[in-house]
Formats: sequence, C-alpha cells, structure tokens
Amino acid sequence: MSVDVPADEEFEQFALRELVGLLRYAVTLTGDPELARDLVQDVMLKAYDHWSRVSAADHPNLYIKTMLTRQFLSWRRRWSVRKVSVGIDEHIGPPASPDHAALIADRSDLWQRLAGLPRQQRAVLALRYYEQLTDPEIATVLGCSPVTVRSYASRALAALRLDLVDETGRSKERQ
Amino acid sequence: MNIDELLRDTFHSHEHLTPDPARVLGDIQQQIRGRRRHRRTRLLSTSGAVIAVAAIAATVSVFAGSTHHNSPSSPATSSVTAAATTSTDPAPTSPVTSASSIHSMRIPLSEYKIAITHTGDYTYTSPPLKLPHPITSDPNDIELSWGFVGGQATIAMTKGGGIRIVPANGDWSGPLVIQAQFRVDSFTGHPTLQFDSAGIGISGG
Repeated sequence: MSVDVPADEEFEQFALRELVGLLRYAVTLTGDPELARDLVQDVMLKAYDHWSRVSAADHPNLYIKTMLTRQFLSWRRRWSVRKVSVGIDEHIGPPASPDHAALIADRSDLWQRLAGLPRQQRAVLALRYYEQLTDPEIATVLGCSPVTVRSYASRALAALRLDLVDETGRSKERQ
Repeated sequence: MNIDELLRDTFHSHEHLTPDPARVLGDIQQQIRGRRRHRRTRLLSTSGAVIAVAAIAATVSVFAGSTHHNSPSSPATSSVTAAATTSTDPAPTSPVTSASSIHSMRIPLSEYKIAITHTGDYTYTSPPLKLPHPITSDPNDIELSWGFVGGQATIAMTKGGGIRIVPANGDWSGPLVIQAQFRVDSFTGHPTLQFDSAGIGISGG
C-alpha cells in the first residue's frame, strides 16, 4: 500500500520527532545498537506502509512502540544469529569515588544480566522502568494480561537476583 | 539504591549506545525512495499494458462497427439478438479502460458486468439502446448515478457486480430505444471494464 505525498511528509515529520526515543527504547529492548537500528528501520518501514492506520491511532508513538516490541519478540531468527554486545560503559569515565565505581559496576553487571533475560521479561522491564508504563499499559503493548506482565517482571527480577521486597509493594501499587 | 532506581539508572546510563538518528532516518528514507521507484516502474509497465489492450480493443471495435454498418440488417437488432441468446453463458471478460478512450458504447442486453476500479467519475454515452425484454429490479441492487435522454430507466449495480438496466415503465414489453448516459463513481485500483458474453460494442478511441 502506498501513501500519498502529504502522508509522506507527515510520516517524515513523525520520524524526525520520534526516532531518537524509538531508538533509545530499541536499545533497552535489544541491548545492542545494531539490532536496535535494524529493528527500528524494519518497524518504521512497516509503519510507512500502513501510515494511514498508524497516524489514525490515538497515540501513534505508542502504536509504533507496540509494533517495535512485538517485532522484537518475534524476531527469532535474526536475534539468534546476532550477538548481543554488552560491556563496561566507557562513556561514563573513571570512577570519582568508591561508591561511584560500585554504581558503574552495578549498572554494567545489571546490563549484562538484562541481556541474558528472555525477551518477554526484558521487554517488561524496559517498558516498566525505561518507558514508565503501568502494568495494564504494558499488557496492552505485549498483548497479554496484566497478571502475565507481573509474572514476567517477577521472574525477571528473580533472575536478576533483585527480587527485593518492594516488588510486592509495586504490584499492589500498579493495580 | 533500590531496584527501581537501579534499573532506571542502568537503562538511562546506556542511552549513549543509541545509534545516530540522522543516519537511521537517512537509511529509512533511502529505502522508501527505493520502494517508490520500484512502485513507479511497476505502475508504468502496468499502464503500458492497459493502454496497449485498450488500443487493440478500440481498433477491433471500430473495425467491427464498420462491418456492422455494411451489413443489411439493423446493427442494433443484431446486438439484441446476440445478447438474448448468450445472456446465460459464462462471462468471459474483456478488459478495456480509461474513460477517455471510450466515449460511447452500445449495450445490447439488460445486464452486463462492469468493474471500474479506477478512482474518478466516468461518463459513458451510449447510442440508442434497444432493450428486448421486461426486466425487473432486485432489492439488493444498488442504484448508480445515472441520466437518460429519450427514455426512462434506471441503472443499478447488482449484488454480483453486474449492471442492470431497468425500464421505468413496468408494462413495457417491447423494444425500447433510449439514449443512455450514465456516470459511475468508481473505486480505487486499475481501470477495467468487464463485459459479459453478450458483448458491448465500443466505438471511439
């Protein structure tokens, strides 16, 4: 399906405005800049093909993020052959104090652990902690129930050995 | 630092891994341009084929028209007879197209198939029509935009995609000659006219 010239312009304006946020979100999802770029490109081309539907959505940005997330979850083949690159954050610079060093180590360690999570669990954490979505919103994006979302989150946190006591509080708070 | 903060902080501290948006946008635009080029090429080749078919159809019908004029019997009557005998046949189609290449057509029978899938309004003017039988309308028919000169009838799109011409006078039972001019608001897609086996004489080009 093609889109006409005004729709093309609208699409390009949307892309200019939202691309950074989509790429950042894709990085949190995939943990890999190259995968994130491929993922966003694929999804944006699909969005272009169906622009009339996307632009008619109440929140086109959220619509695209949903497409992005679902594409990521179904991206089995490419995901399996690409290596997720994780490592020490070189842009942060040398630690200013032992606490800061510990924090960087924690982040780096956590980033690596996140990369090892099943995709659904990682997606839930990215949507919850990076995109700041509520569990029902995450459920809409993933196409599952809020209970399933909480289940994914709980398992993810357990796998990260971060299943702290406040998880119970969070579940209640998000309902 | 609690779990929420640590996760948030971890995600945000890796934002620098984000690929260059300008480069990604450039790649997306390049792929879109490639798709447009591909689409345009495909459209041009399709249009070329349609024009060629239309030209052949116009040539054939002009030739057929001149043959009819040389025939001793009335051309309209011949068409009506042909239509009546073939109306139950399966409907082979003959694609024709663009309104500009067809300025008139002869409709020999009450019903034929028409599928105009090119966006726009089309006006076809027929020579006098001779309708041989009483024809009744169907509740499922959708009335088309129409106008007649010299007769009273309606043109309706049937549920199956055909065209039905229904004389306004219910008692009408003999040949009726009307000059038809009707407009069709067509649909998106390729310009195509499909006629049933009764055939439609097309003249003009």
